[in-house]
Amino acid sequence: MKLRTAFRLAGEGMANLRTRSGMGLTAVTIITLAFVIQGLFIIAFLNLNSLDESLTQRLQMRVFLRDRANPVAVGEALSRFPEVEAITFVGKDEALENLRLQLGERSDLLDLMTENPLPDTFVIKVNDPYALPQLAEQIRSFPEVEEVVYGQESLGKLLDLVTLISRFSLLGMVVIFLATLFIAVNTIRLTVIARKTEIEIRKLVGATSGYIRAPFVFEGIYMGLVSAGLASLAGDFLYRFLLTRVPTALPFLPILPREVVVPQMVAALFGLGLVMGIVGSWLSVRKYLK
Amino acid sequence: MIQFFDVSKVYANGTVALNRVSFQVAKGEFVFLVGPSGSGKSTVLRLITREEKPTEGKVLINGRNTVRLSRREIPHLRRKIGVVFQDFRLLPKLTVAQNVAFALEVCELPRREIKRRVASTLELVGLADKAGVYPHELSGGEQQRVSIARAVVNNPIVLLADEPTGNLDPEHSWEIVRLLETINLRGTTVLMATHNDAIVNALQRRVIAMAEGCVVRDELRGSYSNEAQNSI
Ligand SMILES: Nc1ncnc2c1ncn2[C@@H]1O[C@H](COP(=O)(O)OP(=O)(O)OP(=O)(O)O)[C@@H](O)[C@H]1O
Ligand SMILES: [Mg+2]
Repeated sequence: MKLRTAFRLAGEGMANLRTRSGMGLTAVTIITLAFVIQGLFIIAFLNLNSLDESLTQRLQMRVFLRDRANPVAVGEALSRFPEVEAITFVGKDEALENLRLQLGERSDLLDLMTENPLPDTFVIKVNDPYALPQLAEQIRSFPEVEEVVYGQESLGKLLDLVTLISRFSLLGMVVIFLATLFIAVNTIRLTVIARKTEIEIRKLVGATSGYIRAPFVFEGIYMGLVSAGLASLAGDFLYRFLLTRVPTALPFLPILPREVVVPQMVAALFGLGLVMGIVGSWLSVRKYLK
Repeated sequence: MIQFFDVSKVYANGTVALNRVSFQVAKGEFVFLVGPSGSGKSTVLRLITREEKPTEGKVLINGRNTVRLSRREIPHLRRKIGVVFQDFRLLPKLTVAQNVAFALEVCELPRREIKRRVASTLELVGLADKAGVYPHELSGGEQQRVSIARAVVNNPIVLLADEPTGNLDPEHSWEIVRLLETINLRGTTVLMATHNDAIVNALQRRVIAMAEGCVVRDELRGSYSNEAQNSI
């Protein structure tokens, strides 16, 4: 299709929307509302994912070795446990350096010590939080091991909950998307029916399917993009509101900054709007193209 | 140019519309398709435009089997075929010129070329002075001439007319038929399905008569029915 034709058919799509503006406005309003909910799901999803990640990071176990234990042998033994996902070795010198950094200005305290009191340490990531106590028990029985510490098990339960909610919000996003698709299909179908004679004549005079479809695809895209734009504005507004309230109301809940969440939400909404418009219009004209 | 070989058509609901129909139409011919209601005339035309596929047999247009055409080729077949209906099928919100241009826009011709061809075609059908008028402001005969203009503006090799005079009084019917003859003289093959016996008998053109889905008569200088022929 020539660019000039595409522009003309894009204009026709706009005209279709304008001549049936009452219906178009209703559809855009409903789709916008749905997209605002979609935006909330996206916000929840992004935050829960980051929470999930930070919780998982905390699900690690520290194994402190006795002096003069051989770290290589212990490391090999540890990596043989199936629950162990990753192992990092932190040598005693490195540990001291870390401590020095943490202490900052007060690090001169360390200079008082004649020798490094810190042990060699393994940091272990496990794939199953519930395996932690039992794994710790086993590792503690190693003669080379001085002590084992790990985060609370309750973190595991919280993590499960977070994962569940994040899956649920993903499901919610799918449901909302299908709902908007349904609205788009039925709105565009009304235009298609109103343009039935045009479609018939176009077919008869030799228009390609793409040519016949184009005005409706543009109509769908306009609806999707306008709704996505309005919902993005609303979503940004809501997120800024959340950022002023959540930290004081629920201080234990970490919430991502606006610069991270809002651009991703806007991109997702516009993507969904575009897909909704294209797929929706495709489905609406399909029957009339045979 | 149009060839039907043992074509049968059974619609999805089981209606047998055509039963082993065979005929050929050469380039430049003017053919009347006659027969009682439901005898299958419109079905023949719909098989030529490939709106329908034959259930059995072959339909060839310019030597190409229409069943073998891909989805992308069908539009190009239709650009070579003009179609006119009893009910005109004009778009009420477009002017006469826009209705005619509709067929050329689909082919993505340059705008100036479209303007030029629309003007010359409106000249041909005698409506040059009505270019900016809307269909509802025209008489039935004029509306049918607009629809003929739309059908021939792309210089089709064949013009199919399905009862083009069905909604018109005798005077306007004659106007339309004379216009079809003019178009035929310019080299376009014309295939006209009709119930108008006066016109068929007067013109003495080739007549293909159908009954119950079969070709029952095919005469080079025919008339509407056998009796009419006997009485001459
Ligand atoms: N789309 C369709 N589905 C099912 N049956 C159909 C369809 N179109 C036509 N028929 C049937 O096929 C037969 C032939 O119809 P067709 O329209 O070709 O007849 P015709 O000769 O054009 O009649 P008329 O003079 O009334 O226009 C009829 O019995 C009709 O009912
Ligand atoms: Mg018919």
